[in-house]
Amino acid sequence: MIAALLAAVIAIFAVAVFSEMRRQAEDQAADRARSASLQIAQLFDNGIRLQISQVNAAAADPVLRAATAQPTARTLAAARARLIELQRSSPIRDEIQLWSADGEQLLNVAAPDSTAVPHAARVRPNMGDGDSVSMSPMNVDSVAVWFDATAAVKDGERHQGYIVRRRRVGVTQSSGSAVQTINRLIGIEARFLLGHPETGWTDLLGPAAGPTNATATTGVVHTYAVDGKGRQVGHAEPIALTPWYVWVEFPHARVYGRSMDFLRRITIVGVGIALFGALVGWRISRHITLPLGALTKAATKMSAGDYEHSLGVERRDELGSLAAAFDRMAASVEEARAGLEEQVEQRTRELQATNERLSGSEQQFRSLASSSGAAIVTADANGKINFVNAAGEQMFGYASGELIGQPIATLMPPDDRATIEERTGRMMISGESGSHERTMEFTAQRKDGSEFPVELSLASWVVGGKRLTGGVIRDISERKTMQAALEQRARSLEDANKELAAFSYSVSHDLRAPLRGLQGFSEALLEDYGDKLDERGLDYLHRVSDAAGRMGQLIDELLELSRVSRTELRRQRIELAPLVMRHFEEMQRLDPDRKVAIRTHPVPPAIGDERLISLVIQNLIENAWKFTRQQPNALIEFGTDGSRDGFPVYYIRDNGAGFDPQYSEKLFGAFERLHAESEFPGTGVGLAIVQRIIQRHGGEIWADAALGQGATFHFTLGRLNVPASIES
Amino acid sequence: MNDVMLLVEDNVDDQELTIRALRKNNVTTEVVTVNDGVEALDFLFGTGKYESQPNRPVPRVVLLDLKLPRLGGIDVLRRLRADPRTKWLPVVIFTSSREDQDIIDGYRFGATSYVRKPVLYTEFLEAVKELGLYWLMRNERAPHAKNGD
Repeated sequence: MIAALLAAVIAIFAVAVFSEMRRQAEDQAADRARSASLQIAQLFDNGIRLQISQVNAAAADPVLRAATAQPTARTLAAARARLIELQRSSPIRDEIQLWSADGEQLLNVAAPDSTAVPHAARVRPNMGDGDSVSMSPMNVDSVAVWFDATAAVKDGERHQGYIVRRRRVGVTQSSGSAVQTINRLIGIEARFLLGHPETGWTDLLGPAAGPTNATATTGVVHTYAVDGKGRQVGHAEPIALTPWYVWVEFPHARVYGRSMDFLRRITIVGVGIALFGALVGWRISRHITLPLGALTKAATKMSAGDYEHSLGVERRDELGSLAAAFDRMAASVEEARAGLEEQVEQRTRELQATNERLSGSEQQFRSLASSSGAAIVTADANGKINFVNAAGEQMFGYASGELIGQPIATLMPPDDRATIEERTGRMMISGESGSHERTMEFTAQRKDGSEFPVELSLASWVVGGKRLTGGVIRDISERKTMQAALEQRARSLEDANKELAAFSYSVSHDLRAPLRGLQGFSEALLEDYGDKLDERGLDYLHRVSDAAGRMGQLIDELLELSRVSRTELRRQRIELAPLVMRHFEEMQRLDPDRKVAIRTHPVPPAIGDERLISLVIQNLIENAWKFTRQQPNALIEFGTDGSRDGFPVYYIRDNGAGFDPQYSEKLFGAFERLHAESEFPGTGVGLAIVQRIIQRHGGEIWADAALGQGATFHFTLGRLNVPASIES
Repeated sequence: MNDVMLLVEDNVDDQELTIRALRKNNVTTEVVTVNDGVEALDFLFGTGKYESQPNRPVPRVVLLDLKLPRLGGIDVLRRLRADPRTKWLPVVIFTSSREDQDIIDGYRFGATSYVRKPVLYTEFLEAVKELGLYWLMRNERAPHAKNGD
C-alpha cells in the first residue's frame, strides 16, 4: 500500500520532469531545425532572385523575341550570342535554352564546366500562362540535381517562346562542397533535404526519402519514421519564389536522448525507493493488520452462520477492546439469530399464504366477473376505465377492449354526467369507511346513444395508495317495466278496494233497513192481528219473518267477510288454547241443552291479529258444535300436529257428521254448503271468512274428513308481515 | 213533566217500529220525529220551521241516524257539540251500520253512545226498550241543559 503510494508519487514526479525535459528538447530541436532550414533557404534565395531577374530581362530582349518569332539561321545566331552573353554575366554559369512556343528547342547554351548534362537539354520546360518566372521542381537524375527558371518571350500577351535557365545544385554520387557546408551548419547527425512532398526530395547527392506531408506541418516540428534510420524529428521551411521546401531532420534519439536518460535513471531510483517503502510499511502494518485479519476472518465466519467463533485477542489497546466488543457482539447476534430465523420463517409462511390468497381471489374475481350477467366496471383515480367484463361490454354495446382507458362518463348521457358524478361522489363520501357500498339508480347510455335505466352498486378501495372505484351495473329496464305494471295493478286494486268499501258501506246502511221493516211489520202483524189469521196465514207470515231474518244474517256475514279482507292487521302474541275455551264456553252458554266434551293440548303461542284469529276460532268451534249435533258423545279437540314451513300446524277436530272428502275443495268457498240447510243451518260464509283470515296471515287451512267420521281442520299462521310500529 | 225524545230518522218504517217498540214497553214519553239533519238542528236551535215555537222542550235524548238526507248524522253531531246550548245534550247514534269507521267517527265527534239497530225484530224491540228505560228514566241530565235557552 505504502509502496504503491511511493511509486505513484515518484511516477508522477518522473513523468512531470520527463515531459518538461522533452518539451525543452523539442523546442531546441525545433529552433535548430528552423534556423538551419531558414539559413539554407536564404542561401538559395539570393541566387534565385538574381537568376529570376536575369531570365526576366532576357525574355524582353528584342533579339530573343526576333529569334522566337522567326527562327532563321541569322536570328538564331544573334540569339545564341545573347545567351552566351547572359551566361557570362552571372557568377554561376547556368545552362541557357531557348524554346519555341510549340515546344521545339531552338538553342542550347551548355554550362561551360565538363560535367555538363547533355540529356537534360531535351527536358522541355513547363511554363504556365502567368507573367512571372516559373520555377521548376528540384530534378534529380543519374548525373545531377538541377532546376529550371523559365520566362516567356512575349509578343504582347502572346507567348512566342521561352527562355530557360537551368541550374545544377548538386552532382549525383559525389560529396559536393555545398553539402559539406550545410552539414557543418546543421551538425553531423542532422540531414538536409530539398524538394517537395509531391515532387520528391533530394539531399543534393541524389534522391532521398523525405516527409510526405511537410507542407501541412510547416513551422511545426514533425516526427516520423524513416526506413533503416528509426524515428526522425524534422522541420520544413519554404523557399520564397520557388515550390521547394528546405527540410532539416535529426534522429529522434539525438533530440530526446537526454530526457530518455533521465527517465531511465529516475525509474531506477523510483523503484528502489518504492521497494524500500514497501518493506518498511509492511513491517509497521503487520502489528495492526494481524488482529484485524483475525477480526475479518471471524466476521466472515459469522456472516456464513458460525456465531461461536471467539477472537481471543488480549491486548490493552484499542484493538483489544475492539476484539472484546466483537466477541460480545457475536454472542448477542447468536442469541438474536435464533429468534430472528423463527420470525423470518413465520413471515415467509404468512407472505406465502397471503400471496396464495391474493392470486386465489384474483382468479375468483376474474371468473366471477366473466360469468356475471351484470356489468362489472372498475376505474382508476382519474376516472379512466381499467377493467370491464364481457357482460359490461355487451350491455353498453362496445367491442372487446374498446372501453379500456375511456373515461367512465362515456357510459352516461352527456346531460346527466355532472348530476350522476355528483351523486356517486356523495355516495362515496357517505360510505367512505372501508369498501362500504350502496346502490343508486340512473340512466345509462350505450355506444349507439340509446339510453336505459341501470342500478349501480358502488365500491371503492385503495391499492398501493391509489384509489380504485368499482361498480356492478344491472340493466333494470325489465324491472322498471314490471314495476310500472305492478304500480298500475296496485292502483287498480286500490280503486277496486275503494269501490268495495263504498259498496259495503251502503249495504251496511241501506240493505238492512228494508229487512228490518219486513221483519218488524211481520211480527207486528202477528202480534196485533194474529188472531184474525188462520193457520196457513200465520205460517206464511212466519216464513216472511224468518226469510228476512236469514237475509239479515247473510248480510252481516258478508260484511264480516268484506271487513276481514279490508281491515288492517295488528300484530300480537296470542294464546290459542284459552281462546278455544272461551268460544267453547260461549257455545255452551247459548246452547246449554247439549252435552259436548272438549279436550285442549298445550300449543305454542301464535302471532297474529287477535280479533281476527278469535273470529277463526269462533267459526271453527261453532262449526264443530253444529256438526256434532247428532253425536251423543260429542268431542271437540284442539292441539298441534307437527309443523309446515317452520310454523306449527294447529288443528280443531270433531267426531261429528264429517263430509265427503271429494268436496273438500268447495268447503271454503263463500255460500258453498255440503249439507242441507234444514239438516245443519248456516249461510256458508263462515269458512270463507276463516280461510280469508288465515290467508291474510300468510298461513294455510285444509280439512281432513270422511262422511260420518268427523272432520279435522288444520291451519297454520305464517309470518305476519306488518310493520313493527303497529305492534301493541 | 214535559219530557220528549228527539228521533232523527228518515226511514218511516224505522220511525214507526221505534215508536211501537217504545209503546210496547210502556214508555209513554213524547217522541218528536224529524226526517233529516237540517230539521233536527232547526228543532234544537229554534230555527227554520220551529222558529215560531219558542216553548219547545229540550229533549232528554236524541236518537240520531247517520245516513240522512241533506245533513248527515255526523255533521249534526258536530254542530251540536260546537254549540254551548247542546254541548252536553245526550246524543245516541242509532243506526244500521256497524262499520268501524262510523263508530270511530261517532265517538270522535262527541256521541254519548252508539247502538246498532238490529235487523231481527225481537232484538230491535229489546234494544229500543233498553234505550228508552235508560235515557228517559235512569239517566240524569246536565243541569244547564234542562231548559231550552
